[in-house]
Amino acid sequence: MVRSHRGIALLLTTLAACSSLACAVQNNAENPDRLYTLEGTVVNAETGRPIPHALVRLLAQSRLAVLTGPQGEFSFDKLAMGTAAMVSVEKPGFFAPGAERYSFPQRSVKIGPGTGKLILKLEPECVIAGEVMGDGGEPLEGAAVEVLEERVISGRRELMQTRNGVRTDEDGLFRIAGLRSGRYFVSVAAGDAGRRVLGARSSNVIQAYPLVSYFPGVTDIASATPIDLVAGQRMHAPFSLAQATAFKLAGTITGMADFKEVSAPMIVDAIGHPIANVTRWDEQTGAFEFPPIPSGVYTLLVTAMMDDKHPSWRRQSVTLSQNVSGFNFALHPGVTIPVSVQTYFSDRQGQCSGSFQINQTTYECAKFPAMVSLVSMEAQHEAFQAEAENADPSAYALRAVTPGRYHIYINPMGPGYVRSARCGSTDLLREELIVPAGGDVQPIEIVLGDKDAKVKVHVQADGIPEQARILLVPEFAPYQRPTTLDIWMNGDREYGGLAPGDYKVLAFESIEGIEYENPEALEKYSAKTARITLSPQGTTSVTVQLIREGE
Amino acid sequence: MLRGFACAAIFVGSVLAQQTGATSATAAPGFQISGTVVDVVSNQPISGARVAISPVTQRDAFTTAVTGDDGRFLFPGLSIGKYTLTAQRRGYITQSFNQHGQYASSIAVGPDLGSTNLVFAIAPESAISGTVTDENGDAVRDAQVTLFQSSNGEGTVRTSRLSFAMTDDEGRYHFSHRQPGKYFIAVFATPWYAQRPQTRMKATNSDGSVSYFRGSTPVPDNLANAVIDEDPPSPLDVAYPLTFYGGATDAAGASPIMLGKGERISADITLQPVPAFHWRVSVADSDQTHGVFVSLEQKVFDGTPLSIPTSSSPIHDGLWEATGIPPGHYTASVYTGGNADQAEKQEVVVGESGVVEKAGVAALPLVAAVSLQPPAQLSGQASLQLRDIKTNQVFAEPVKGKGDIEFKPGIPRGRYEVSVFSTSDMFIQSVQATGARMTGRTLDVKGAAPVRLSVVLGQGRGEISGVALRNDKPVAGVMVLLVPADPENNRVLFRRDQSDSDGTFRISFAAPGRYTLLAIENGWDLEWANPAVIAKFMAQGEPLTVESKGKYSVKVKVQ
Repeated sequence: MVRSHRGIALLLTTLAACSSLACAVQNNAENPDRLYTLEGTVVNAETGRPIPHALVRLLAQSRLAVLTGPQGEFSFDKLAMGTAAMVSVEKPGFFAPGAERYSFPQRSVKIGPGTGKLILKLEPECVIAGEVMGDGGEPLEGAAVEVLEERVISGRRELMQTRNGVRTDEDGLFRIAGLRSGRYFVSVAAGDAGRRVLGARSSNVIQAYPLVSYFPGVTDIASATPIDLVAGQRMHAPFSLAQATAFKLAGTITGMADFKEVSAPMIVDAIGHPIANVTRWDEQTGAFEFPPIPSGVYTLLVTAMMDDKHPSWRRQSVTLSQNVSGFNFALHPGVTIPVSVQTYFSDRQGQCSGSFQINQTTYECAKFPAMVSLVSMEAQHEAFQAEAENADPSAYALRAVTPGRYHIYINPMGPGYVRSARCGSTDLLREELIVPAGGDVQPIEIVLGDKDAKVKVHVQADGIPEQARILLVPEFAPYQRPTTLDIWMNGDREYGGLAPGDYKVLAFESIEGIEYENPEALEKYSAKTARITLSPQGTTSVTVQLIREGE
Repeated sequence: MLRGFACAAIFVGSVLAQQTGATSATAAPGFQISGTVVDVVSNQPISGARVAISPVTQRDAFTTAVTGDDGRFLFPGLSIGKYTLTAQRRGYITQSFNQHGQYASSIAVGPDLGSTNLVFAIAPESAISGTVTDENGDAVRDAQVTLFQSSNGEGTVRTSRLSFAMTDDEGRYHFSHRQPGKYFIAVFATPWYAQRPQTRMKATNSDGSVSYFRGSTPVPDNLANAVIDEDPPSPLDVAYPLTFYGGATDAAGASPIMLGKGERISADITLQPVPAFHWRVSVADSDQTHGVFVSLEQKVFDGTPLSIPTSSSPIHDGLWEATGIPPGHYTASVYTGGNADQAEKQEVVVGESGVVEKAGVAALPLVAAVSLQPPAQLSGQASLQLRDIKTNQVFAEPVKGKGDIEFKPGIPRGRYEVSVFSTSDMFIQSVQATGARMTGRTLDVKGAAPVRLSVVLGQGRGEISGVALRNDKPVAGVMVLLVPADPENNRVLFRRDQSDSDGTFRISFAAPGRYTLLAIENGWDLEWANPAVIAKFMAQGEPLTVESKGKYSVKVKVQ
């Protein structure tokens, strides 16, 4: 069936009026042969109003599904006692709280005698609508409108396009629905909307709309106003664009011979999204030309492939205040940085026997005790991974690294922890790595040690053990990713393989949305942050207070 | 004249500095084109309209002007010649002077030619929008809305698919920039809440336990007692039938939408669910890698196929099930092995009696031997086209090698126009058929026998130029129609043009043969492909025999 799931909320929600597991139905004397009815109501999480015609599904003895009635009510009859049933609810225009985290959020319900009814909540979606006006207040048709959502992914704040863009209609109107509550930026690109005018090509004065405008009408995202939506909000975002004198931007990419394949240049915005594509591109000579562009400072991006597997990214800035026809975009063949990983293991137990694969080459963990990668501080997806030709440890290196600023990530593949990581005089556990254009970079030297430390974590809330996601933040290595651990029902967990040193320990009910790679973002939890010092081959116990969702 | 460019081609370049203003007339030497742009409905002048001219010999060399409050435009200093004249204004259809479909009148400029004080009437755009709701009054998202228009394209009024849209979160769809005319709307959607009970195999083991399995796994020996096991029927196993504006579920009952000039019409549609059907398909040689794909097509109006999405899944080896099928009359294609060309097609009627499989849809083999007279290399220069007169479906095959070509996977029964598409000015000299009846340029495929065509092509079509006259005075904007002998069976040989401002016209690429040339005023709505419609004009037409590479100059009387 070709059915789009766009905007359909999959999901169950909270069982408000029930205790967490034993929730059911008719409060009668226990009788194993008795059949039970599961009843409940689906409500709007914001308004509390019942939601009619929502689909409630119950996976019990068989798959059952009903639509709620006019008052949001539903019931499933003739259920046997003790059945563990999975309940889910959905309706177009709504999300389930939690649907973000689970592809199919549902909750287990035990059928049997009990009290109360299920209350299933759905969160209404948000909508951003508006209009785009051009010169003379005339509606601009066919302008591309996009929303960027600010999200925290793996502890890092990122902007991502979570909904498809739309185009304005003949009245300049646009509407983007299916948005969750959250922070958004809205952009408009007039594209060729300003050029679809009856006329000749042979004019000297060319005008164009900005390549991209962010709400409320600025051309860089740094000065854009974020739109903070709460569930169910309808937001109006009007745009008024003006044409300005536009200039020609043409030139040549040089140095292509060092690469197997070079993409046509694009103009990208501050977060790497393409905002203009070439109108002319010759992959033999590297000659390119963009459509006329208003004056401004722009970033050109080229993706260059050393071979079939190893892309690298080159940026160059251009200031446009007149026609530019001979722009030189020089590609340099990147920097090779040798990587050595030493182990400082006191006994043979520390030896490693596993292996890992990169680009179809197998790396024995005994020879390659750690995976090493560099991630650009400018764009997360621009990353380089250390590899070795013929799996020869002496050839282990990061290749074709684009000049820029990087974090190093070191992932020990066997026992051991990262004792140190240096590049010349740079301590890579505490400082960023700067790769200069065309310059040499000292080899990266990594030392793993085996006198690791253990931690025993106990989580509680109001004196009661709780399950949680634990965050261990090494204070001695701010550029290493914090360790995350799950703690289940009993509230305890012991974990080893950690580098000795000072740590912050936090326990979250949900780590979703927590920007844990940013030390500043964790400061507001300082009252519930435990501080510990782990010693080599020691076990340190710590009790942490649970940080509730939304706290 | 024929507008030799697509509308998009004139939207080139950037915003122009105004080269000429409506009021900046200077005493330039040469001739002028001037006039007033008016709204065809209100007859009021239109300000801010962008007007462009270009010589017909150099159609992308535009000169533009923008009308002032009086709607006037002026292009001075022109040399003798013909110019296209086009106007653009937001809210109006971008159009050329006196445009009728793909024809318009060029403006002839020169001594004693009236190229000033033109009244350039342009039509405001129309739009159709509406909301699709379900049986509960909720918006239906992502419904597939198809817009059909009944219009006289090539001498026959046909209802054909014009555009497609999806509904948004409010169930709204919108078709903008429409011409006035007669429209229909069809909506297809799947209920968002639909449940499809699953079918699987169930087997009882020797210890009394029960095993379930499905998919391509062959039945294991010890599970030889396996039977088909189905989920209990669900009241939510429903589908929306294809639904037309007005509520009908068949095209014959669809309500037309009469869209006037500049009108914005709202057309809301409510969908009602009906029990969905499941269709089990035995597939002898199902390919495990690609699976089986069942596609259903419903033909509406004059044969436009609309695809009805289904999903299919295996029950066991060789048996597949398509679910969620609304009642209707379909052409079902069952694809196995991932090759789109290898579909088994058959008619399927889904209704009260369930899914009834009708006869397979036979595709009759069709081969053609194509040759050129005088003999010459053919390869890559031409393709042979067969157009189904009823459905407008086109089958085309490039002529390769020695000219022996095969239409794969064949063609269904029907009546076809046979023509040649060529980059080197070829025409069909003669066609003979075995296995089907060939009359003029019309092929009637009725039987079950393979069809063999023998096609002889010639090179160098004729060209006719002339002037449309009434009382010896040229008439602008009339339809010039070149009618072949035996028009019923030679529709593909018709040619048309529109007279320019000086009454002249030109028809290129007329295949050799006997014709009658007509000039008909206000003839644009005539169903001229019907011989009865044009019969009354024939007596006053100009008979003409076109020979290969012949050039003719004709005076034709305006009727």
